[in-house]
Amino acid sequence: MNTVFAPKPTLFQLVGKFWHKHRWSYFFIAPSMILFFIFIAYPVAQAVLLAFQKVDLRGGDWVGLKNFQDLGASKLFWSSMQHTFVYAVFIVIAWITSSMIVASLIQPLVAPVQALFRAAFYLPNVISIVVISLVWIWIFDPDFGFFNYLLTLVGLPKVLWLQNPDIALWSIVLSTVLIVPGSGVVLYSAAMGSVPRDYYEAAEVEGANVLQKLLHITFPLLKPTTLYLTVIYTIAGFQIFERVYIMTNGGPINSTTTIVQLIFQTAFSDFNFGRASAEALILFAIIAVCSLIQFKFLSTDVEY
Amino acid sequence: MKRLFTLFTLIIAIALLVACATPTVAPTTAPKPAEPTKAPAPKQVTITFYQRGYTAGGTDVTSVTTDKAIEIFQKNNPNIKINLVGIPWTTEGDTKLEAALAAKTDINLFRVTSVNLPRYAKQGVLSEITPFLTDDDKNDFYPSGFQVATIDGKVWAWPLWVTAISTFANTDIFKERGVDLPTMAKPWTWDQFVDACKKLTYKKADGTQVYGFQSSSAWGAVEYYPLMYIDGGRILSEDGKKFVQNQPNGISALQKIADLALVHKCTPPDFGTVDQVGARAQFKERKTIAMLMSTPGFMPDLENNKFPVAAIPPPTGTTGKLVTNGAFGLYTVVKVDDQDKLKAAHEFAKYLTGSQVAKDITGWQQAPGLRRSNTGYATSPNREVIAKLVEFGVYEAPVATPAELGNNYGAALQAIILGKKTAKQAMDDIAPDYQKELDALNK
Repeated sequence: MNTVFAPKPTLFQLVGKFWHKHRWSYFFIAPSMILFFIFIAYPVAQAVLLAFQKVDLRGGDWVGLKNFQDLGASKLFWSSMQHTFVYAVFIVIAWITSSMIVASLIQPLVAPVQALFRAAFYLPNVISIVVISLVWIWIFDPDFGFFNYLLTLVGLPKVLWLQNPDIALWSIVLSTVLIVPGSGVVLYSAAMGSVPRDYYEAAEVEGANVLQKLLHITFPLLKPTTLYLTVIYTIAGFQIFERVYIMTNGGPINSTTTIVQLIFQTAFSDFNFGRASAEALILFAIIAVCSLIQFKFLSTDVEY
Repeated sequence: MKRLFTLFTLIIAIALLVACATPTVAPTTAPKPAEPTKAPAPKQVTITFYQRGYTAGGTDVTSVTTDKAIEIFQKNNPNIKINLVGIPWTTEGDTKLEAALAAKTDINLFRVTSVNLPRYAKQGVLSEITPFLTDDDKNDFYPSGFQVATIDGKVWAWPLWVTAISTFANTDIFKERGVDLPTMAKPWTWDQFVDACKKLTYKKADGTQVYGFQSSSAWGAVEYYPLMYIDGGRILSEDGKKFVQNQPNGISALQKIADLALVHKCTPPDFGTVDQVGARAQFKERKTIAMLMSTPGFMPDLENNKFPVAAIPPPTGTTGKLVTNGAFGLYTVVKVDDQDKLKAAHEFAKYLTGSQVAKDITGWQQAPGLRRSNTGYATSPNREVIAKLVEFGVYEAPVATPAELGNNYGAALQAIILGKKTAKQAMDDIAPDYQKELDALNK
């Protein structure tokens, strides 16, 4: 009996077959991929290259790691890093805590009321941060501000919320954490709603109290949501810009300068795009490392 | 399916080709026969002008007067067409300008700030004005106008005006407190100024707190600069090569400014951090400030609102001399190979900074001019005071220091006013970094 072997397909044939099978897929994703490469991938690659150049109107000169060395020697860079870290840490803790508390308070309510509260807490998200910051400037005004008005009512001296370099950063943190993030409330509320009631009933049968139920059922089952929110809020914290730019512009005495504001200043006041790109690259690395650490410690295999 | 795909691809390819093709315009008229011996008409030139603060169709002073200036210039120079691009006085405007210069797109003339001029000059994008200056021009300009536009011994911009800083007094508050206004002939000494400042700090019957003195003092918008020079000190040596504000006459003036807040307590709590908008609102809307040190740009707003204001000179210090300071309005021309465009751009810049434009257009001159022949600004007693102050101007040599140094210097000034450091400590701290940058620039 003769055995007939099919000839091995050539590379050209394999590519042709692949193309024949998938061409429509590539055709449909082409527009978005082209836009992605033009408006995201290419600028990002350019920014990485710029970080190693000295750039002015005549073009760029390759300077190796000089921009990074200069940043290492810059007091302003390190202080802006410190301010950014302080801001990010406080807002992540405050936002996670406050949104979890609000979501747990909403949870026992009937569905329509829950929806009403979710919408109410989400509403500030649709207001421009510029408007919110302007309102906070008024609240912090030393002579006519709402906070100082409250202080004078109880006989306390006025506070220079945004003018005193020792407290200006804390005032900005305060203005951020006092607004409960709507996204956190909505996500936690949804996550809490999807935890099976059986677990709580079983725990109650076993005699678990409220705190034990919270620690051993609710928190572990909310870990995926907590991880997501922690990563998102950390990124938002490190990217703080508009609020500082509008409320203090980094002052007084550079006490509220943050890293993104420094990038903005370096790029668009000094027009030192090489150094600004180096700052942006460092920020990217910090956010990436923080996100990896968060994934490492908060990711979970709990399924329900 | 295969046919459909091929057809679809073909249609897109054809559409792209059509879109990218250079349009050809068919001649609309038959070519005219050559004209007999006639002098060649001047070559038609189009130049692009980037004007700060201009909005197409805007009703603000800059937009209206710029449109008018272009209209008159084009009428008088029919061979030159001005293509106008408006950019705001913000970072967005800076970025647009910078992008145009970097991309070497159409840009021939633009308003430049004295802060940015040295950088552009050093980067070789500007055309020197000296070859286009006549002897009349050279004699007409005040030396200070050329001083701020001179970098490495060459003049790079056409000076238009200087925003000579003066003090605006709320005359209602002065009357209420029985304080007489100082004059150009008899300005206040520092002690007289402090006495007045304290007397003008009081609580009104309705409980409103009024403060004697205020000035924009957030970094980037500092307007109390004249006070830094009253004792004879300055930031940099006259040649711009040494940081000298840590010398006694620089320190004493800075300490005096801080003492207004820390010792005499006649400034609002936000003195040292308030920006221009905030300081002006306190003076004009809230009426809680008796004296505001600011630029002439605020005067039209006050005049139009019939605000009870008098422009008064800054106080004198240990030198006993009047002094002012301010930013310069400058026009600079971009270096291009096309000599016709270069010449046209300089012609237009010369018109915009000359005395004729101030005569042609009411409201063009928003600050005192830098030509002796240009008297268009002083149209009221208050403006006369501001215009007279120009001759007492003390200005720093243009130096392209990095923004971070500016930030740190601004922070040092704030630290003095907020009482975090003495003037001596703050200036001694910043001096080495400042000098290091100056040395690097002068290498």
